[in-house]
Amino acid sequence: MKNIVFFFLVLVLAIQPAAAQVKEEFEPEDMTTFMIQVPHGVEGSGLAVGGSNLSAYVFFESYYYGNMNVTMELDLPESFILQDTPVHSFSLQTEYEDWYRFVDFYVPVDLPPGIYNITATAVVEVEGNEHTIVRRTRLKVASKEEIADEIEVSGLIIPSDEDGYGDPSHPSNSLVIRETSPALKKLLKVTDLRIDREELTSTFIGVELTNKGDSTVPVIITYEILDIKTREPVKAFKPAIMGMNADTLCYATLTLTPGSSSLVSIPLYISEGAMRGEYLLRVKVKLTGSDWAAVTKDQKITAISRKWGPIIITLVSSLLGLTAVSFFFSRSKEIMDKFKTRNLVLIALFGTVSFAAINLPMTILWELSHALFGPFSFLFTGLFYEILLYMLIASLVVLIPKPGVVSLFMMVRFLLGGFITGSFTPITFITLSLSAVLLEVMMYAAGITGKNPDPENRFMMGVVCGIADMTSGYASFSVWMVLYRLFYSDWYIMANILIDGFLYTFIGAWFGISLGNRLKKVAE
Amino acid sequence: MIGARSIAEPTIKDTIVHRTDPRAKILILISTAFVAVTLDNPETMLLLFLTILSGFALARMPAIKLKTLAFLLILLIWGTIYSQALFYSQLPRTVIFTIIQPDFPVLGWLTNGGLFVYEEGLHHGAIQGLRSASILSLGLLICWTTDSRDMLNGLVGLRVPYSVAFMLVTAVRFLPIIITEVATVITVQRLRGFNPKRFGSGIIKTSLNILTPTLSNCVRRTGTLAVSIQSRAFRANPSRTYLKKLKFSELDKVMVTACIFAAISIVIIKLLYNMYTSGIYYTSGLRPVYAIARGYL
Amino acid sequence: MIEIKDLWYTYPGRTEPTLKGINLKVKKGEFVLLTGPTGCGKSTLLKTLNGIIPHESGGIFSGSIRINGTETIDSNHMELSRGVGLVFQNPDDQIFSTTVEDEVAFGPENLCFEREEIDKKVEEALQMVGMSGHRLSSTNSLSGGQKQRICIANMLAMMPEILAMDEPVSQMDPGGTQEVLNTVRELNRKLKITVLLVEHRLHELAPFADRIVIMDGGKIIFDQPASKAFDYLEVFHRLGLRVPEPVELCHALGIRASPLSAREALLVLNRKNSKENMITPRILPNPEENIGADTSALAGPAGNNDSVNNDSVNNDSIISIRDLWSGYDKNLMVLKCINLEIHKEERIAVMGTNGSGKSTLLLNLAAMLKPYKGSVKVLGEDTRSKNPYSFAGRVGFVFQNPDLMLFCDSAEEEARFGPVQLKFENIEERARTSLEAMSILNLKQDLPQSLSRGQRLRTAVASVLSIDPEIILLDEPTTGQDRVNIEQMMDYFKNNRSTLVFCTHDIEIAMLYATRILVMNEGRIIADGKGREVIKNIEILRKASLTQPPVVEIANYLGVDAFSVTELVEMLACRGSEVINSDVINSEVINSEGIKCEVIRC
Repeated sequence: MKNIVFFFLVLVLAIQPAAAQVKEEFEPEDMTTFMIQVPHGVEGSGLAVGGSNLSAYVFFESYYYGNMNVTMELDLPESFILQDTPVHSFSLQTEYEDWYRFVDFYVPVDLPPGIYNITATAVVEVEGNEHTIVRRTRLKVASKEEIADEIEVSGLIIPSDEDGYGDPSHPSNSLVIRETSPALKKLLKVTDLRIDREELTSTFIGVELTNKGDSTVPVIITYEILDIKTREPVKAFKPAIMGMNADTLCYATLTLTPGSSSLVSIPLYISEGAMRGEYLLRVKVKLTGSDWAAVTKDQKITAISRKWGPIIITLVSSLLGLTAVSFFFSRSKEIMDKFKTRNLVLIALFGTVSFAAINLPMTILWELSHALFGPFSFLFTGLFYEILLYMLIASLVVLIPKPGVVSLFMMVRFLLGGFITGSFTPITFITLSLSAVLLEVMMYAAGITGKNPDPENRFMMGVVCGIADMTSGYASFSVWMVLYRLFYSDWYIMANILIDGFLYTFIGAWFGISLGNRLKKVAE
Repeated sequence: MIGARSIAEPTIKDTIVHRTDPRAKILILISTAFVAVTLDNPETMLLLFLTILSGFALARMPAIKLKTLAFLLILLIWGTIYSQALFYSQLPRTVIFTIIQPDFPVLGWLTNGGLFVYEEGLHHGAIQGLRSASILSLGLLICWTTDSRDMLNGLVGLRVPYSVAFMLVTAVRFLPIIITEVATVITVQRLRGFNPKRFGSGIIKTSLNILTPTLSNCVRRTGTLAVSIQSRAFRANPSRTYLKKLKFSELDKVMVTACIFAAISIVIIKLLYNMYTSGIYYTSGLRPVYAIARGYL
Repeated sequence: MIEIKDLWYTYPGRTEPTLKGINLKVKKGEFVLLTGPTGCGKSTLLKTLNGIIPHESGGIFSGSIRINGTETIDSNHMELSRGVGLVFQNPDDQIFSTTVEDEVAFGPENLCFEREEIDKKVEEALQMVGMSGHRLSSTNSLSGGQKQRICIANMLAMMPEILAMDEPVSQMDPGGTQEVLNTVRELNRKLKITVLLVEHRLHELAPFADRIVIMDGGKIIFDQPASKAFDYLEVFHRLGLRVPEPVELCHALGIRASPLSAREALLVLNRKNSKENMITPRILPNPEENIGADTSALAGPAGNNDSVNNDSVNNDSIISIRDLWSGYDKNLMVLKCINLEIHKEERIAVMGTNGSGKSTLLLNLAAMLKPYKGSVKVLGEDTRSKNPYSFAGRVGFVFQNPDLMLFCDSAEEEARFGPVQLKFENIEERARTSLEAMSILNLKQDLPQSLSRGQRLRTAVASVLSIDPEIILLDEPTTGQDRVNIEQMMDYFKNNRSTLVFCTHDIEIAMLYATRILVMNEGRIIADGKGREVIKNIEILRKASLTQPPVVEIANYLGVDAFSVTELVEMLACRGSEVINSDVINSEVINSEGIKCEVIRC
């Protein structure tokens, strides 16, 4: 038995070199891969339009362990204009070594439509023997009309997911411009809202393409978001990303086989300067190598602004107002008992004076000054409104330096406005209650009201009133924007809260102390 | 001439609007305010506005009130249109007039690239103005069809503390007196050669000049009024009784229920829709709700 | 009913007590008139009665006040509120509701009465003051007198046993004063409500009072029954208190009697005459002949031979009004067809009830209101094309409430304000002169708003005088003011021969200072003439809710042309040289107040 095993082992070892010697025979088709794609990426016959700059892709790989020299020649129709040399020689030294080239050529504009044959011939020299391998492909050069009929954008989904599929949880044909404030982003991430980048928000556009023709079509899909009226591209939707032009990122390529449909997604970036509104999404499908858009598809889209800053401010202000009112209602007896009857009467009369001297004239003055001074009318109206109002508030606090006095004053103003001019509006409620809460808290904290009140510190009173009014002013702009869907420019808001909110208020409060002191003498 | 009186004084008649319980009116106003700030559909907003205006016909408002209403509405809507024409920041927008060129010294910089009047802003302002116009109109309708004491009783009926109601009624009572006093103070100063129209520091001086005598008078009045009120046992008891008792009629109940129900429904529908559009919450079962919100609200 | 023992009270923040050892007893149903100079502590005393002092005010309080045997210091606010009702000077400052019903119901509601009971109390209280027809009226639509009656009803609804009233008629027009006083008198007499009334106007109130109590410097210095009080005239004179004219007359005639009305004075004179065969007129005309006798003299501007001071008046017309129709609403004209010429140096008193158009006339003169029809020429310029600013410096206006005119930091600044704004020269001199003229130079650094009421009026006038306007307009400067303040101001105008137009309800002031009196009724001038001519016409006065001063009434009945106590005494003294036998005919006439008078017929 042992002898038999030994015999076979010797036989195997003896036969092995003999078998290798048999495979040394070079078989060109088996021991190489030779491939041509015209244009690149297209397996089978491709499609082109006159005027295209295309690349033919030639690929050669050896599976032969030995050395081979290859001379490869690409034979294009004469009417094609080669941009590169069509003949290349190279040698491959070992198994699995490969070689490829892009051979650029130009399909003239005026080339008659038709099917053009392209041949690539590789002459392989192995140990002195030459073998020829030929590969043929066809390129269909079609007219623009023909191509336009063959390719169709069969679906446009915005927003879509990363694969281009639509999400029913988002309204179609809409973009959401989200908050870009870093602080809020951090906060909102906790709530699992989709915030993608530090400075940008992004989504995807899903594009479904159908090739109705019989050629494989390599395409590049790009998009533009245009002003719906002027048809000018809107830069905010093509922001520079890490120093790169968004065009270099916002495209997709696809090779459509005959009779197929494919879905592709393209990223869409929205910068913080983007405005809400209606836009035109224009998707362009270009054949590879051509700048000509074979297919253009327009879709009206709506950009929805979801800037969470104003929304949160509105919510917080409303909640604060409601909480303050609820607190007052639940403990009204204790609060009101802190005030003597004469205090209540005085607050009521101050409320009346504020209504008579400010609200009533301002009903008309406000709008008239808009006509005269346009957006700068706040410089004028603030002189009346803020200065007079804070003179009244400061002087009232000098007379009654108790916590709650400002709230009662504001309450009388609010109810009086509702009684007389029917202005029981949410905005008045939110603004006045926020203003009251801020003033109360800040005045108490600053020692203007409280157990040992010091209401006659002009500077402190001015600063407290100024900051409170700035804050409530800013909040009121947010409320206008959110609840009443009105627009205000940032510069306008800033100018308003700085000049009206702080400067005029400070002046009003400053002089209000003098007024309060005079009135104190009258009261004595 | 639209005066303070035509704005402030109610017209007492016997119509269905006048007869409505003041508490019902206040609740309807609050519900409507919620609806008005919730709506986005221009047609529905217009419908709401027209419905409110029909209340004026129902209340048989006199011409002077209608004139006052028209005047205030024109001012309000025009103000909104004007501001939105300037600040409209939505695309598309078409400049129809340039107020400040972007390269205008200082102001061009201050306004962050100039100031323009946008055509689309005018439309937006007109539509959004309907929102405030609806609230204002209903507020005025209620004020003009409700005697201030009934309104006060309404507030007390809605659990507003009596001390607050007292302050309010005092404020209402003294309003015409104080308006007259402010006018007198201004006249006095003009007769002594002071021109309150002077701008700048003149306005501070004017403010002080107007407020000092007016408030001094108030401070003096406060002493007497407070003593008079105290001598009538004000706040002598933790509670008090009331001569007038308000009664909700069946119609009032139906109206209030309908309004509150409609308001709550609309607010919830819009909230769900906004959560959907913001990507916060979506469920396919609510698609009909989303469709209603998108199409009508 | 009220028992006050050794009451001392000091306001918070003050060192000097306002009440210094007050002792006072008031019986149930008594009507006590409490008077005294300004600042003597009268009002403070009233506030102690229903516990506002010290319960609400704080301050240092000692002594005892018993109301029906209960100490106020130990009682709660509610009990005291029910026991003592307080009524103050200005009804506008006491009413806080918009409707009469709410206002009157306020007290019973606070006392937690049942709804039906509140309703009953409101009705009863309104009936007591004769206002039940106004239950649902707006408080703003009421006249001054009606408002004050509502203030009384407010208290009555709480069923007080005591009504404490602080100058309740001092701001009323004559009609309002009568309404309120008649109401109080009825309440006192019929319902036996104890009344404690503080008032300067003794001459009008004294006839109603059972007792007169005088305070000075926080103490009660005088307490006598009304019938005997004026036996001590020197006390009243010393404190500057105005004594009823009939009392003055009797005392001047050496009669030891204190008649409080014209009727009583006539009775006294008659008694005196018949008993002592003393001074009586020879022939008394039939009083009915007097009524309306002088209407013919009333049309058109009267001559300027002012018998009060015999001023010679310049004939240059500086205000000329032709067919003036004016108002605040074109459908409701306040002034109707006014024709008026005012000459330089004239002093014109405009009289009439509230709402008769007095203030509207003044506003037209200052170009603050424009004619709806007709023309107003002031200093030769038509006001239609002018605004008030164009008359600044030439027309000075002192408003009814001088407080609304004071806005500067000191009285001196007030006086300087006008000249500075108008860029006049000699600003310091002007300010000093005007402050001096009003006797407030020593207060020039004081905050005007914190001065006393009289000082505030004088500061307001000084602020106008410093401009030295050609025309001065005064809108009811006498309302709520002490006699001394009024006289000082008017004396200045008289001595400086200012052209003055002033509205007033005080017929004695008008008589004393006006060169001409205009009486207005329902927007029309119903009388325009010398004071003496106008005052004789009872019919005209009645239309304007005015009454003749008692001395004129007496003189009328005596058939004498006298318009002051001094004049009447002089005239009666002249006639006294003739001894006349006289019969008394017990004929009765009804004077303008509706009081039956016995007339002496010789």
